[in-house]
Amino acid sequence: MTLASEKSDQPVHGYLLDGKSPRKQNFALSVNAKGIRYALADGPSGEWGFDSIDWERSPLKARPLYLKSMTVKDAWLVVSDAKAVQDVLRAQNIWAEQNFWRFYAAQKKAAAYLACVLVFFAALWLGWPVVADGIAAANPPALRRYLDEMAGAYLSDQLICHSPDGEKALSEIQRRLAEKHPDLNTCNLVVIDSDSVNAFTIPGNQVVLTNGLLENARNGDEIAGVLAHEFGHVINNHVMRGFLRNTVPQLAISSVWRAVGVMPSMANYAIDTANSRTFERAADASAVILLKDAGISAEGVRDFFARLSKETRNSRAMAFMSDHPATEDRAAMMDEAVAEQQKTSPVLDRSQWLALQRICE
Amino acid sequence: MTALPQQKVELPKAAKPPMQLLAYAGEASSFYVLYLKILFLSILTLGFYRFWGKTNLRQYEWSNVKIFREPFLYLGTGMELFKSFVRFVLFVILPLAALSAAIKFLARDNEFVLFGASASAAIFFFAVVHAAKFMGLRYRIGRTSWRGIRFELRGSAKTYMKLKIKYAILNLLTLGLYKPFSDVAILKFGIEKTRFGTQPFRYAGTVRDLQKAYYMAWLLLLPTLGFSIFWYKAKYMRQIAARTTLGTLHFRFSMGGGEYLRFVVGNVLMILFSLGLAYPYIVHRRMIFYTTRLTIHGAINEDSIAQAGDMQGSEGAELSLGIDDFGF
Repeated sequence: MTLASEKSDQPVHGYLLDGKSPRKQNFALSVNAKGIRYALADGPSGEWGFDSIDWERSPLKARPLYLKSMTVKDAWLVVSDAKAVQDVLRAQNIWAEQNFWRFYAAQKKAAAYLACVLVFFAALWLGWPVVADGIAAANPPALRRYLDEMAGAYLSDQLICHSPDGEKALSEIQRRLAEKHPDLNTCNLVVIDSDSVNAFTIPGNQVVLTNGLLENARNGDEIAGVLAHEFGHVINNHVMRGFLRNTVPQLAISSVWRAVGVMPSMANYAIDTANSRTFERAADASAVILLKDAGISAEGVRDFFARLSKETRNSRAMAFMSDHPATEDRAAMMDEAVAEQQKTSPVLDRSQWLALQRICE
Repeated sequence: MTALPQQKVELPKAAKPPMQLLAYAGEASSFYVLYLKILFLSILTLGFYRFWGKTNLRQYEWSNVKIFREPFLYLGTGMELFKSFVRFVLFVILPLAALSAAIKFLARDNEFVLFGASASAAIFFFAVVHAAKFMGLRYRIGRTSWRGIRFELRGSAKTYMKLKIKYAILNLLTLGLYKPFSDVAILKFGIEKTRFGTQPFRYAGTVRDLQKAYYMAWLLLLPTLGFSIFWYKAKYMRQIAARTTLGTLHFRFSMGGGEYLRFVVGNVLMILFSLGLAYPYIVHRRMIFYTTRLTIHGAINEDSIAQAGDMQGSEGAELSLGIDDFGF
């Protein structure tokens, strides 16, 4: 059956590019049960079976249709009346308009690759923390030295506060917290002259407090609570675990994503936050135990965290709260600890507290 | 003495070869819609659609450029780009990242080793970028066809990389004075390795063609705050077209330095003021700019061109580094 154009009722014409030379060979198209048949104006005819026909999927609308054969390499049938041929192919269930879902259904290999990539990242996300914790438990000396050097380099850039009375007061808090946990006596406490309200643990079991934190606290119990939280990080080896948990996936993701073109910082932020929240919860739990064992009221740290979470709009308080997200769980844990504590005594007297607050003066 | 009567002699006019303009039939609006669709799908798929999106954009651009009323076809697929990307990440990026982390960790005290490693990394990166650029070009050329005949870029990325490193060093040592020589050598390598089916491109450019324009631009580099280089670039592009032939076909490219400067500055301003949203329009504008300035002279000799039976080079898929294009 000769294929006719809907508009002119004339046979559909076009030209064959045989893939061997750039010569155009005009034809008229006809269709039979097996496929499309072309009769060249000055030569023989040929037939392309429906099962071997594909077409150039250019995202263009008004243009000739470029049919290609999956069996004859580089050959094209260029058909001027695209619609007539599309109708034939559609009737054979070959032609399908492109859309997103059909595209993906057709790209099974692509979907398989994508699935592999997603599985790889899922495995990295779920499996790597377990591996990282295992490595951190072995405490590899080379890695420990590397982290210690990083901490040393950080502290060498800071203005460290010294005052005999202030340091004595800080030692007193450490002594109380370490009474039943003697390992904590090996921790080094450092106060740096910084306005930001922050406390953090750095490699080498060193806990850093900022002057801004001391200025914002109301008594020694509040500082003891913050220190207990930081000692929780030390007890749980969070520094080395965090380094291992974060660094490797971030390296992998940033390498891959940078090449794909999506900002890696979002992925890094997600990893940081996920690990940070897990560690903060663990450090809070350890802090509750330390305060209880030391007979120091958990009321101080509860109030301090609650006050900071209200003040997070204050940029100075942001530093601490950004790493230590205040959650209802955390408040509930602290309330529970306060309710359970029976006998407590203040960790510092008035003069010791004032000396600690003036450590940077 | 009488003067000889002057005879007006009608010399037969040299048969003027037919001239063809390249035609770009793309529309800014439809290209913009396509771009937005790809952007949306890329975001939805965390960036993974970009390989298919890039292919779609190329199909659009290629098939809208016509010569002798026949469009070019882009035969590459998104899957090829994606596979090459996966290979690149697995065999280049991840081992390099691991190596770099290991060196930083193991040799952290040895500044000499660290410096050596950084310098090696910089040279390696330079080499990889150029090898990847060449492979990308080879892929795109190898996936381009016209009237069913494929183009092909032969030659190895390794040779191109060596040439680039050699000329980078020479240009550095001569404060850029060697550039016309290196430009001609690299053009000769690239153009003469390119074929349309069995028909190779020929390049007859010489250093003499470029040196006057280059040294003038070089001298004026500081007084013109670097803008003189646009005049050299224009001359460079005109020279490529004028000295390149494909069988009986000759090319001409008409663009002045000032025109080129206005075009580039216009693009930069549009990108800046539209916060990048004008990017698809700039691609459209670029296609129009170049296709309207390139003319092709002569008639194509269909009998002298056939599909190359020994295609090589084009199979190596493009390394999708995003270095030779921005955005997609």
